[in-house]
Amino acid sequence: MGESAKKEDKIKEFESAALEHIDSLFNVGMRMTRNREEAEDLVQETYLKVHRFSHTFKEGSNLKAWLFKILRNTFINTFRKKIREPKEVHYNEVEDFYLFHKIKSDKANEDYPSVGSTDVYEFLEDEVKNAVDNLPIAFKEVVLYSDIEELSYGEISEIIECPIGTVKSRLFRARRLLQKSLWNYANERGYLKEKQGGPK
Amino acid sequence: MTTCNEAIEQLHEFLDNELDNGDHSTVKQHIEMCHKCCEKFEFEQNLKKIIKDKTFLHKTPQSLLQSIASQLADLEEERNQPEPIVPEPKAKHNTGIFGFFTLRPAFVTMAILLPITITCLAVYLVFLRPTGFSPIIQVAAERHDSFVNDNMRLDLVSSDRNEISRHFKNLQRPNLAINVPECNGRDTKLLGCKDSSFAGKRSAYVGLSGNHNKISLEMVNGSDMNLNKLNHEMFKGKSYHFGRYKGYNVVLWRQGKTLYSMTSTMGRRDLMRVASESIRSYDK
Repeated sequence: MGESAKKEDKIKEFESAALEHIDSLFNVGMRMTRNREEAEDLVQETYLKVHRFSHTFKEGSNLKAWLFKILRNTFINTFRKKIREPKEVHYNEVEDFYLFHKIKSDKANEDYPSVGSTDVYEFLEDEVKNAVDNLPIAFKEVVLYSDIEELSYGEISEIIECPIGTVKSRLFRARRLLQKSLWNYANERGYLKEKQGGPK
Repeated sequence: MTTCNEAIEQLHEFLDNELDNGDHSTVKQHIEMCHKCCEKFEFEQNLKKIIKDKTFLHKTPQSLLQSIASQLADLEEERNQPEPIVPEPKAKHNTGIFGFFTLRPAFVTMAILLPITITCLAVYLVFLRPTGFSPIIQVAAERHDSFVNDNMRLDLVSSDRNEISRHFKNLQRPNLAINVPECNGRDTKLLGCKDSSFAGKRSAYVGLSGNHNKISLEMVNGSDMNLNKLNHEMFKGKSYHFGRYKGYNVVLWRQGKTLYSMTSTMGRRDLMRVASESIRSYDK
């Protein structure tokens, strides 16, 4: 009986460790589904699977990546979505440092010492969210894993079951697209005018 | 010395902390010295942070957290319940022919057994089983059919038993020894008779009318036709063969050397009753 009690404790411990990541899972779920109810269902289903497949988790491997992998598979199965790289994305027309250059040229007339400081651009929450949300899903997920969850390329490659090279190319292209759409949103709003109140 | 291009090439990996220590410090050194690159790197780094800050907003709703926690607890309890004791399947790995049948899904076994069963059944039905059909049944039924539908021309139309008996006697057959049923007016009534042939011999055909149905009675002397392939049944101590064709029941029996055949739409037990009550044995 001592053996099974020990095993039981281990499972409980494992599940509470898994629950510590619930915010991350929920957040990614929200961005993937863009719907609160669906995100809740997705996360709930994910934890059911965590319970069911807890024995397949290899001790010592990355729990967070394992959880994301389950979340991702659940998402694909539930929404019957295929996560494939979009065929036609003109990311090549977005040059390196797109946003940097745009902002810099926009600010050229103003007397800012450096565009590197954060107070120069005040993107609204909705703008960033929309920019992320509207990325093709194969790009969106790598941005979520890398920029928001700060997972390593290796972990991401494990989650999306692609080589690291693919992770990198998707991530870099995703960031370029993101910069372009951020600029479009910000430009629509005309954030520069709002900033005319003066720098902090 | 690292150039700007080299540093910028490694921008993402640098910011994502994916460079090994050597490369990382090389890029870092370059940024510290190069104002242009520093500006860009800082910009990208800030952007990365902004993206994180502005999207990592969703705290898990407390209700969801609770529902998951309680669900996990429930599942845990279930898991800890002693599993219902399922009787261990007996020897799982039988050897030989038993293993062959038990290790495969039931339908594979069925696929083998079913054709065998069907073949056996077919053999039994075609060759072994007594059937309700024989050419003699067909002859009797078809004859009765034409009688019922008034397609039969009777030699003598009469309800008088003696007249019919005389008719057959006048034919002066060498061994025509039949007895015309004695109808007491209760169940059956004579309609007429006909000189005919049945079961390979000359026969005496008598048309009767029952309460609701017409009845054909045919009598043959000395026919050695084999009736064993037909079903048979005992009724009041006598053995009757029977069959069915075109919706008519035919009952056959032997009395001494005479083969009798009776056909009607009546059930076969009714036919047997009429036969046993109305047809007297020839006792000359």
